[in-house]
Amino acid sequence: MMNGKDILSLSVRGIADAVQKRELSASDVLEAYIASVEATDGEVNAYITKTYDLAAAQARRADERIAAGELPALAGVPFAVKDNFAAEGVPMTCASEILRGFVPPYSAAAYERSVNAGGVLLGKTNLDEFAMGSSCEKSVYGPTRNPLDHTKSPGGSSGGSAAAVALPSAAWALASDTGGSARQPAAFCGVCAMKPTYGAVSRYGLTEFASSLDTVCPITRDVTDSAYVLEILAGRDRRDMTTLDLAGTKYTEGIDGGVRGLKIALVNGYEAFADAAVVRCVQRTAEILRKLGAEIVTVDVPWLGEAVEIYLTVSAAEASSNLARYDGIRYGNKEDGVHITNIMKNSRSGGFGDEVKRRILTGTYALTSVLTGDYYRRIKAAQAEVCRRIYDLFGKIDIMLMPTAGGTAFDLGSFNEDPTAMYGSDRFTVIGNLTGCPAISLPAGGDGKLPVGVMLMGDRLSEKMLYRAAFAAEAELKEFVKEETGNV
Amino acid sequence: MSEKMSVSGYEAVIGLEVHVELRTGRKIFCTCPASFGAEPNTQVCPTCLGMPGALPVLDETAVEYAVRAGLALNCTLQRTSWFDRKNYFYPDLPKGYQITQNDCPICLGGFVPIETEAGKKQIRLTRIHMEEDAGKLIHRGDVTEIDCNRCGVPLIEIVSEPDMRTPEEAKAYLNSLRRILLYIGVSDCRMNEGSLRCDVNVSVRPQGSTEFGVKCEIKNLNSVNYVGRALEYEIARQAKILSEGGVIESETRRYNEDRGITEKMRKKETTVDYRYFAEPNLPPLCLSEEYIDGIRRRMPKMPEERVEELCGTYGLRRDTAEQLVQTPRLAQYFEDCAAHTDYKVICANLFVGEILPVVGEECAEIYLDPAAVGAVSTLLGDGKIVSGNAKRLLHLTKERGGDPKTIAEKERMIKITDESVLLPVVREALAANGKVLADIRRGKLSAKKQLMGHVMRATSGGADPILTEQLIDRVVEEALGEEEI
Repeated sequence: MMNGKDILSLSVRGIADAVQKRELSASDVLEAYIASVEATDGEVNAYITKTYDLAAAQARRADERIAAGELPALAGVPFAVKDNFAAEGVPMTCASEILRGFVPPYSAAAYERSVNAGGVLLGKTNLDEFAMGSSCEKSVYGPTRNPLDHTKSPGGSSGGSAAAVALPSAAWALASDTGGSARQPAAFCGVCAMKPTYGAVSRYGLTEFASSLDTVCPITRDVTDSAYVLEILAGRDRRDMTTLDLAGTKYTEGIDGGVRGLKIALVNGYEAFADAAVVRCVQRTAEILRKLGAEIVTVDVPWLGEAVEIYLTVSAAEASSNLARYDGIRYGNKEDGVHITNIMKNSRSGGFGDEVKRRILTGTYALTSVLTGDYYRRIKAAQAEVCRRIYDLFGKIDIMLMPTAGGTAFDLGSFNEDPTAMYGSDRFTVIGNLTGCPAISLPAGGDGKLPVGVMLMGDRLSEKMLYRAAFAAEAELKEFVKEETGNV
Repeated sequence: MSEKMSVSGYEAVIGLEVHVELRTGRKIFCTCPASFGAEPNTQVCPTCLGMPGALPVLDETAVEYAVRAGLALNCTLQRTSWFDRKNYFYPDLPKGYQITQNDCPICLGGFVPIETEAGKKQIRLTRIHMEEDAGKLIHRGDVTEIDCNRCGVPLIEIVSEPDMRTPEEAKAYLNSLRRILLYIGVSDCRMNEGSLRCDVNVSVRPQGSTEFGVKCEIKNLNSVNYVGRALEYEIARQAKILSEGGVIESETRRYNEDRGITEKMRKKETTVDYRYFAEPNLPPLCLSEEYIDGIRRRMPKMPEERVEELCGTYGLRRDTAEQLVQTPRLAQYFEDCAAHTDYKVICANLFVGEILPVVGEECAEIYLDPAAVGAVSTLLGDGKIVSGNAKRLLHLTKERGGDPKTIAEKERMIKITDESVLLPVVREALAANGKVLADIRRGKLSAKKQLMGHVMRATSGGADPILTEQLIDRVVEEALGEEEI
């Protein structure tokens, strides 16, 4: 019989395997994880809502299915869900005052698939309000702390999900990524995040921030878990018309196939936007991949800064429209007013935090063509040009290797004085969202106790190749991570 | 009437924006039912209530209906169109934006044929686009309630060019448009229930001018007649202002049904910015040639075309033909019947007289097998039955089934044209009605009708009326002659 610590050390596959073989029951696994949540969350604050009763029922159901001879892929695996995904009957707050009291009568497709595969929901994790932010501080439920250093941010917006996986107080977690919201916190917490191709995973039930950029991501402890979970999440969903038909893609298959012959590119001049430790980790990764048989080249992408500006405009514009529905009338927190217009105004003024309001205002302005002279159309044209250039690039190389973020986790409160300074931390990640291309962040070393993540990005639908490269690098990088972070 | 006088010397320029609810039975972006008059907020789901992450999924039937409308109205169908968000806050708009087609609508161009006393004309269309409806606000005293049942009901908006010049043309346009849409079955077009809604744009200019004047928009028009009356009033109002040297303000106006006048709602703002952008949750709508052809093949012939055909090949009168083509089902039923007889005109008259009143223009059910209707028409055409018996024969055939001719024979409905059969019956009639002869002798010739009635009763209406009349005359003369001797 395994003890709690042994159980927590198991990977997603490890848990599913043990539960399928009845070496562990789903209820045993749940018990160990609940103990971990209870021991850690008071300090870290990864969770907004804990769903132990629901989890107990789901664990029982998983055990029953095993007893009936089924072998669900995520049998008994306790997971966490960022609180901008709907889970029927569980409050969904998006870390915002305006959704206080909202209990969705429907479930997000990604959550549903995870539960149907035998998963057990531990709870809903913290985020920056409506996923707008990079620090997981802009939450009405307080900041989440980096599990490796409680004075630091876990990154954001999916800070709660990344922290929970790092602790671990969840075996894996669902996150969303609109400009880096899954990859950057994964890098800050020393875990793995795959932002798949736009359309690979259904967004149904994911609260919209910027619909054309929002992506559903698994945050996991390692690369293989990521591929394993993505197999369950990915594929056409008739409730999301932007999903792609990926029927039966086996992301784990051939994951150990190596990188021989792959052309992997470093971005010229990236060092100017990265700390020394980050540069060291990127170079180390390149060196490892070269030794394993990849060809390392460099490419010029001098417009990454402009891409961030395009991203900020597009995401704010869509957000201004997506968040128009929160008026306090049909659901969520309603403020009083003498006239219906006042009810809407008061609910929105009181319900949204500063960062959300900033984006709504920016986006509303950007879309108001009479004020900006068709600015939005020109921004969209620039985005199309970015896409063209990146797709051209992927005609010549296979993978771009970049830092996930320019530095390691920053102090909580770092950006209180100048909130927009935080936008620059998306420099390397937004390009994946603007182009719909997949990108995976994995730990590559550390600086002090804090982990450093590197990112591999490929052309659309190149997830299998990215997993292969990440898997190969991960095996070699593990030792460095352990050594440089003191983390096992 | 003084206002009417001032119209002379001015010409109106009229364009219509018509919203039509597509009768697909469900909403355009979710699978909620879309029926009129349900309990408030019973036909709603997370998507049409605008809950977070409940994404829109475009209903294929709505697309098909829009394509049908585009084909019927002679439009150019765009191979690629897309949806945009029209952003504005209103309590009946759950998402804070309406999904519509702004930049690239599904149909461009097209026209609606109209006919007024001034003659035939084609009213050009600018575009047809697809969109979702908003909810309804219900005001009760100082409380306003929101009914979201209508949120997401599929609409097409049909925008005309400013091609109409008179209220009559606007009415003819609406009637023609309505008939076509009803004909292709995409909407029930009930203005009183709001499944066809019309906004009117109208400006006035001096006769002979080619420049457009300042236009006003009139809303809240719930019938074709109100459109006509509102336009008459509005044209007179604008013409009066111009004739007095005044300036027209661009306004949104409403028609007051009770007073028969238009009233100012608000000044037109020129700076309304709906912050349109492409709806990211819906991929571009791409229509393949095969898809459009498939719908085109399933399209019914348009009523005008069918009328021409019926008049040309069957030799029907135009008013008869128009009665037969009110709906595709009705027209098809008639054509099936007519295929079973050589007497097309007789069949058409029989159909209009006896069958149309039973099945109605919707023709939801077939009254009688087309072959039987054709057979009855043939019996009529061959002079085998008298027209007075046609209805009864149809009824009996429906009741009993089988061949109308056999039934007619059995019921002795076949016209008796044989003198040797009929003469004894006439003699018998005279014998049984002795008083008739006396009446005739006194000069009351109409008494012969009693004899006719007797014969008809005795032959179940089968006696050839003309022959019978001749025989009655002959037998009566004989009888009178005998008396004189």
